[in-house]
Amino acid sequence: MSNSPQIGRHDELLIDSVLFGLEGIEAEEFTKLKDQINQVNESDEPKVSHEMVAAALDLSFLKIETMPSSLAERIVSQGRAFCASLAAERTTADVGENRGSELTMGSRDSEPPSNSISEKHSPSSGTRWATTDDLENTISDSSVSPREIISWATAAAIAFVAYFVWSTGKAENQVAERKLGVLQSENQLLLRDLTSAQKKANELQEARADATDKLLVFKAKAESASLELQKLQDKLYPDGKKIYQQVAKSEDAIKWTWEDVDGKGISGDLVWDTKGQSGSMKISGLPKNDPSEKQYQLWIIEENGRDKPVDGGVFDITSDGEVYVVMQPKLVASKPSQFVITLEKSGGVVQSNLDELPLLAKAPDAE
Amino acid sequence: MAESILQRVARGDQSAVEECLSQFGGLVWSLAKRLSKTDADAEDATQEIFLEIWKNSVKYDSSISSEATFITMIARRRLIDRHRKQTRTLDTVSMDADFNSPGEVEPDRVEIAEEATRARECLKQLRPDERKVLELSVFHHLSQAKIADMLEIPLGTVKTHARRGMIRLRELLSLESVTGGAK
Repeated sequence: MSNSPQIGRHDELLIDSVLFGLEGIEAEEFTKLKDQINQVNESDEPKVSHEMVAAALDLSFLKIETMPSSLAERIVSQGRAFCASLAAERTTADVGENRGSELTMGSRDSEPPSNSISEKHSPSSGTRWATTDDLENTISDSSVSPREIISWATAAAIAFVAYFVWSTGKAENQVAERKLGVLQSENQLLLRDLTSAQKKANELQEARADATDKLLVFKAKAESASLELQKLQDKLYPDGKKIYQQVAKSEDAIKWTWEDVDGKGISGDLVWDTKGQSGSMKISGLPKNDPSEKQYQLWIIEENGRDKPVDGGVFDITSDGEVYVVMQPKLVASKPSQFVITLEKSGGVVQSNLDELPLLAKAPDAE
Repeated sequence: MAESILQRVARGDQSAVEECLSQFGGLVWSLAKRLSKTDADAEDATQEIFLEIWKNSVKYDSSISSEATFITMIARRRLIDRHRKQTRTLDTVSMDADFNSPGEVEPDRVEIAEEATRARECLKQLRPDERKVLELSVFHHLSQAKIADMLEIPLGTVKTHARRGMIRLRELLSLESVTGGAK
């Protein structure tokens, strides 16, 4: 006994196929190898095949249960139909042989006539029908007219043909019926497979429809959630440029231009919509601030002479170049006459003393 | 030598059909049931297998195998085929309950019992890891990948164990059939 037997690829795949079944590339490879091996040596099958080993193994593990009686009955009738079809096939084969002998007998009848009818009715020749030769002989020793004999013979011949057709037909019918029985039981199995497959397909389709519905619901929820999220994001981290563009489009919006108070090259403008109480500022050149120290604060000064400017919110400049800042007034600014930006301590102030005032915008129509 | 049941079926003897059912019906049913998800599935499989048995009865050679082995071979072939066609993989839910059952259960039919004992004796002579892989594949019908997963060994090792085990078993069973089976 060798501990590491040299297994050929064919044997490897053979074992895999009996244990697990083969699929795809391996199945193809196995078929090719089998063909090659069959060409070389036709019957090199060992006495105990791997398939037998697997079957024997299966037997050793199996716990045997009793088959349901209704199933057993179905199988018995299926088996009987099969046996009957075998028996019937044999009968047809026999009938075929008989037909052969009858035909030979027919040809023998065309041999030269012998003298007596009794000689032709020997037991070995079996049933036999009259021929014209016989008739001639009969005519000679009977008083029956030739015409009657001919009509009798014709009738007999027709009867024979009818019997022959009927007997072979019957046997063939039997075979066909048995075969039909087997086919029907096979058909029944296929139908059952089909039904269960259809059922599965239906179930899957339903599940799919269900899943599609759910998916739609989820999608709708996700969309509304993302809208909600966008709103929150806009609220928390407003996009100054976006709001600037939005407000600029509004009919009620007015554009104000910044005045560079200290002449430090600061420029820009703002759009403000009093009706919507929203606006955004575009500023270039305002120096960056350190939010822990100081922050810029926007003030809105009302035209109606309210002495305290409206706090427009604090903001930071974190980059050079053009920046956009959303205006977030704490109170309603009903009629602004000026927008002012101051630099205040971190967090802003309630009331500014306007010490550091880099930018100012006056109402455009006031100019 | 008396004519076997299958030989009688092949001859078209209808009485052999019933005998075949009472002898091997339970065997085929149990094989089918083990590899089917539902009873209805197992019934279909059993009917298919018996149709195959009738058709193949003419090929049965008593000098090569017992009828039980022959029938088991037909059944396994059919079941593996069905199993492969159905895309689902078998659940391993019943694993724990059945895991130690191989070898403990005595089949109740005489011929089947003899076959089973013989195979079981041979199986005992295999290395434990080879035996385990064969049990999982033949009895529980797990795929190679699942066995590798369960035993926590590489896939290649599963293949090697399965192949070596099968070759060794074949040697042992051939020896048995030469020396006339169990003592």
